[in-house]
Amino acid sequence: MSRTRRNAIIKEWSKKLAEDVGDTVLYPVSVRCEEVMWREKKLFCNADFFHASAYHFMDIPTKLFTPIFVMSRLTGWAAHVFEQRANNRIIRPSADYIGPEKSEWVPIEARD
Amino acid sequence: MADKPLAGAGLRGQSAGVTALCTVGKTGSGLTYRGFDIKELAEKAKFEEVAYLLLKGKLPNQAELDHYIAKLKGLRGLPDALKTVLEQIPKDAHPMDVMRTGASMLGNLETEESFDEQQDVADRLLAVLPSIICYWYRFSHDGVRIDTETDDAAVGGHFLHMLRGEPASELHAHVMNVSLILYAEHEFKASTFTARVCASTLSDMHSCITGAIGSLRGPLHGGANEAAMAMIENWASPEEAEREMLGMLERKEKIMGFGHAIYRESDPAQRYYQRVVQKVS
Repeated sequence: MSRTRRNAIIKEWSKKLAEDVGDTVLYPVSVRCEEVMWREKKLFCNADFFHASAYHFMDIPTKLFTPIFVMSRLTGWAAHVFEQRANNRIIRPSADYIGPEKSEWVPIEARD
Repeated sequence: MADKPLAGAGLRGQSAGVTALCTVGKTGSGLTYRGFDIKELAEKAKFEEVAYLLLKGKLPNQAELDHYIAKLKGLRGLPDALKTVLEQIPKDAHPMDVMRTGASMLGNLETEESFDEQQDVADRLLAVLPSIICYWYRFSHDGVRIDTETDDAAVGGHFLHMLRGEPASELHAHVMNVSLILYAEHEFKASTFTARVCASTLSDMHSCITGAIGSLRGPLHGGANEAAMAMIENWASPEEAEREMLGMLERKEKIMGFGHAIYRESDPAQRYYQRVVQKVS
């Protein structure tokens, strides 16, 4: 499963960084979270989870985590734009109407 | 009138087009970029090599990679007008708003005039986005105007260098390289689909990317690692983490960083257990 594999890769690097900075809290806390979620909900953590501790160990401010995602995903976005342009038809789905039936016009002074 | 009703809200399970870029939805293949396994790429490739693979359609040979890295390195500078804009953005702004404004402003200064320019426009954005965020961050937080043209060959090391004002260690530069590879592509995620919808109107690249950044900004898409950090940094020990998490589960609070919307390929064991858990609770 793809997200599990990305998680396993970054988890390994988070562990190495934890050893490098001598962390005894954040990495063990992260591992426990992973264990609890598996035991209680049978949920794997996704690629984001161990990125949190890995980035933190590298002194990256938390609010810059998502901009890093942009720096990387730009490649995927642009490649998809190329792909769309190479074989394009305007994306225009339809919607199921759930609004009111045809209504009578009411002059402004006669409205509630 | 719609041809057929959708199976579920949010276009879950619907194919909205074709792609040759990645295999999130293809059963049995794991995650691959243009057929190359993510694990192998994360172990062996440079992020710039993966960018080349995604953008140019094949793995570069050594000469092509050297040339590409040199090209990206030469595209890191910020135009003065963009620096001026970044300097106006307050310290407490949302960094994703900074990225969005930076990409949009670049579209005013270096407009994509024709689709023949698309490769160069993408390379420029790839090279300059780290400069945009670091220039704003260091100016607004530290009051310094950084030089965004470092000697670092790799995007990851370059980013850390600009952020801290000193070259990154080999370990840190390497982890950044791996991280950038892992996040590079993930099929029709909301941000990518935004980019494709915008592209389908034959709009310009900067508009597609600006829109994609706007979609990634939302807490249901990007921001999961930030939310995970905000959660785990509160806990001083694994025991406290376990106690607090059990409380969150009891209160049915959403825990970021675990599971997410996946359309076709999900672990059958996980689906089975989720059904069991739902029945029990």
